[in-house]
Amino acid sequence: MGVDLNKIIKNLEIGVDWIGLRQISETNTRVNIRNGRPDSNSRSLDNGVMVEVLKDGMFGYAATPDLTPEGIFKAALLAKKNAQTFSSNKIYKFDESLRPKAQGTFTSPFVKNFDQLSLSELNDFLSLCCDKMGKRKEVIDTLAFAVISDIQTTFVSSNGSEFSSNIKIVQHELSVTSKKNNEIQSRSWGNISQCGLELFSKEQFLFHANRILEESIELLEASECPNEKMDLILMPDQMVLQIHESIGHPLEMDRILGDERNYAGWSFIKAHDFGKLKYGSNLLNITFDPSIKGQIASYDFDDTGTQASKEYLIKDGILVRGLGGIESQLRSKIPGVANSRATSWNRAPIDRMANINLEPGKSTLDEMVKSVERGVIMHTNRSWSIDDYRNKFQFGCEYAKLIEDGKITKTLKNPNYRGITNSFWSMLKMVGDKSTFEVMGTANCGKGEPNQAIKVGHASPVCLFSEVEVFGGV
Amino acid sequence: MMLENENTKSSYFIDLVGRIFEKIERHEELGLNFSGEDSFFLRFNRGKVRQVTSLKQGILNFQFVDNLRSINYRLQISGHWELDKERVEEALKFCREKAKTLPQDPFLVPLENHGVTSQQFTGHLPNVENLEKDLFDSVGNLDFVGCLSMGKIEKSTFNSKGQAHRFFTENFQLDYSFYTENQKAVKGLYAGLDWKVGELRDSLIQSINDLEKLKTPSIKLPRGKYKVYLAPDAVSEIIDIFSWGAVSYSSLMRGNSGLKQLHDGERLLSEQFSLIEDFSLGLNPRFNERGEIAPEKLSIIENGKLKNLMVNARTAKEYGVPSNGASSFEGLRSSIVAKGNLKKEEILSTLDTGIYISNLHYLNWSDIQRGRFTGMTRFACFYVENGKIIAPIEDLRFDESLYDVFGDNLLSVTDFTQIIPNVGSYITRSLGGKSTPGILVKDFNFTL
Repeated sequence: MGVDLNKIIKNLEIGVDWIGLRQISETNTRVNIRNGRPDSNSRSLDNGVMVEVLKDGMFGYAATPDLTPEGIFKAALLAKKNAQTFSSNKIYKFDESLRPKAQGTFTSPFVKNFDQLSLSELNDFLSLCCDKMGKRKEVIDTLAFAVISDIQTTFVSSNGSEFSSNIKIVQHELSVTSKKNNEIQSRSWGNISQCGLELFSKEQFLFHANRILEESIELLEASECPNEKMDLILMPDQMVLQIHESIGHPLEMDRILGDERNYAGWSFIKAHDFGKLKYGSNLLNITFDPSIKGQIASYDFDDTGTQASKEYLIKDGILVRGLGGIESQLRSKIPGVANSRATSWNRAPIDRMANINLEPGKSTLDEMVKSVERGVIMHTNRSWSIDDYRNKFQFGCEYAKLIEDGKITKTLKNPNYRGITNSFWSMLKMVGDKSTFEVMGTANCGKGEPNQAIKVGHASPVCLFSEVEVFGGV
Repeated sequence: MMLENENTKSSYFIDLVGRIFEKIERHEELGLNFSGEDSFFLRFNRGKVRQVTSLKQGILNFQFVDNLRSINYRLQISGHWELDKERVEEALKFCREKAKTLPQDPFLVPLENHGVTSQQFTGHLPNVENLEKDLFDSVGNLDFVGCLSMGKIEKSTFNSKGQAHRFFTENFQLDYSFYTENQKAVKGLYAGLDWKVGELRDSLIQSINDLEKLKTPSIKLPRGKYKVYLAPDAVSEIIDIFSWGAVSYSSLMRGNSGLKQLHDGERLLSEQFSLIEDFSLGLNPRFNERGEIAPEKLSIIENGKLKNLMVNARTAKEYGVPSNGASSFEGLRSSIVAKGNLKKEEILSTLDTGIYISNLHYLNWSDIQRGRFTGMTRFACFYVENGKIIAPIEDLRFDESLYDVFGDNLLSVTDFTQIIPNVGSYITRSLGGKSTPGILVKDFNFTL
């Protein structure tokens, strides 16, 4: 249904200091193929409006899927009531400057539009990947899935904001599980990006299908990962998780302000740490970068209308800026970024990661391996856990290689490592160059009350850490 | 509107279902699942209101089947037939056109009429205007943080064979914590159908009293093995990961089950451990997305022995085993861990020297093949010596095996349980929950 939000907002005279309407229309098409056969084919169409009002220094929210002018008017009255009823006990007195005037259109990059591949062709494509992964007798399960999303957002406000975004997203994953006697091992490959159907390169998918198949078989005969303190090289598909859990979340300013303490948790970072805390070694440079073409959380404006730009969060190892939107910046007096984001039309925006990236360094992977006397290279996350202050973590990976005297010697299974955030990042010894840099993302970062799962991006080169507590299975 | 009580106004959803089934042709089958809510969320921090959101939504999921081909279509309905008609027609057109082009699905289970049921739990929710007084008057200047979620929830499943199951509830969940100045916290939950200010205040005062114990400076314990008491909330966190690929039959067959060694007879669990899927808790409807009615009670583990895994209709067809009405996810929806003999007043003396753990956090399998999982202590956890609480502890990481925690190392189980509703709200407010006791475990392995 076409909704003229500009016309509607002009007629919304309900006696508030500011009002904004955010409409999101999201279409997702998902195909799951298991062992070469259709497991599920689905489409979803979500559409609704979040009405946000400012009244008596407080923002109030009401969300509705009723897109008629009457439906939006009712929601607006409810949002006003929510603000008014609780304004006498509000956490902070906000004003209209927290919703800057924003105008423009953001369109994500794509080459091949979504109408150029039919659902049956996508089924065939993913079945082909399953067939490739199922070629060995040890294989007990293969899965190939893809989600194709088209998300259109329109935002208008009483102070003249009018911006929209049209974002195309493709998420994909291949996974294979193999078994020999009592040993069961899995390998997977996947990503999520802003792109079109050009992502579905047959050559690339079949290459990775074959690679993860062979690696899952290799793991069946592999040695257990040793239990010792040693050097650790993390590939980008594990660095993504390491950055996410031990840098992204602790830097979220709503956690630092305590908003999340009852659910996702607090942070070991304090307001006075900004500009002072040595977060990691001098090689650690972390950016909030909404400008990388094709990365999953690239955008021009966040959900408050704040213009997004690339900013350093950690520069040469020093914590310089937080992951907080305009409201958290005002409350905390800490410099932040444009990251007030809502997962959809039915949630209020909160501080989220967007694209949180580790900037490339100067080392090649070969140089890193040669520098290691005894260590492990780990690939692809399979287990993750960290405390509510984001200190003590334990992560596991699908696949590893042992390095002895500067050479890769054998494959290891069940690799894990644990550490404490600050001391772990201080042992960052080498950072890979652009040749090792990969742009990735994750589809479901959970946080917030009510809960919100949002898409976030992470890009990273390969990194080498020293003196890490590495361990294997029982 | 979509969520109106049938007793007061006619249901928009019922009308909608009727209109959609009229459009189905004889050779087609259609299942319709509805998930609707009319919710209110009040989020607060440091005793002050952070965000207040009202939300109405109704998600209608079509399961369209034609000639062994199936496709699902999920859409948000607006509550206006003029708008929804267009969306419904588009959904049916998409399903018809696309289903024809898909390969046949060998494990597709035809829709059946699994009967007609209706359950309605009407609550008495607080007046929004009174909430500020109800919630904040009795907590003074304490550091009070959390979220109140309340409103109406409807879950229904209909199909073109005549099946009609409806579940409606009107409930609230005040999920909160109190923090001390030294960053220690007590977690609390006041949940139910009937909001009673007296009960709310009792719950808050109990938490405030518990906060006193946390004002002693924390002690840092070295890693190692400790005797621990895991309170019902902590046990509930462990039971949650059983739904991540432990109790699912499909996960077992696909090589991804934490209970594989129990299934294969390689490891044993304690006779003191029994896990039952039990819908008599009344937190969740018994029907699944296909309308199949799960048994009221299904023993998963009985006195340490594996009795059943969760099997849905699709898994049943694929592997030639009987279905037990599990959801598509094959997780626990309404589970009970059986009580034991340990009395509340004997917990500390029986623990003697060890750690009292109120809550756990962020659990995940660290080696699912061997039933090993990791996680953190959280909120009010104490070091106990000679049966007396000495001090709160700095949080510890553990890495344990369920075959030890619920196996040889399980010393005793409390003679009481606590009902822990699911307070999750990803996409929509959740239903369900569990009832868990506390457990006493020796040699619990802390690694960091």
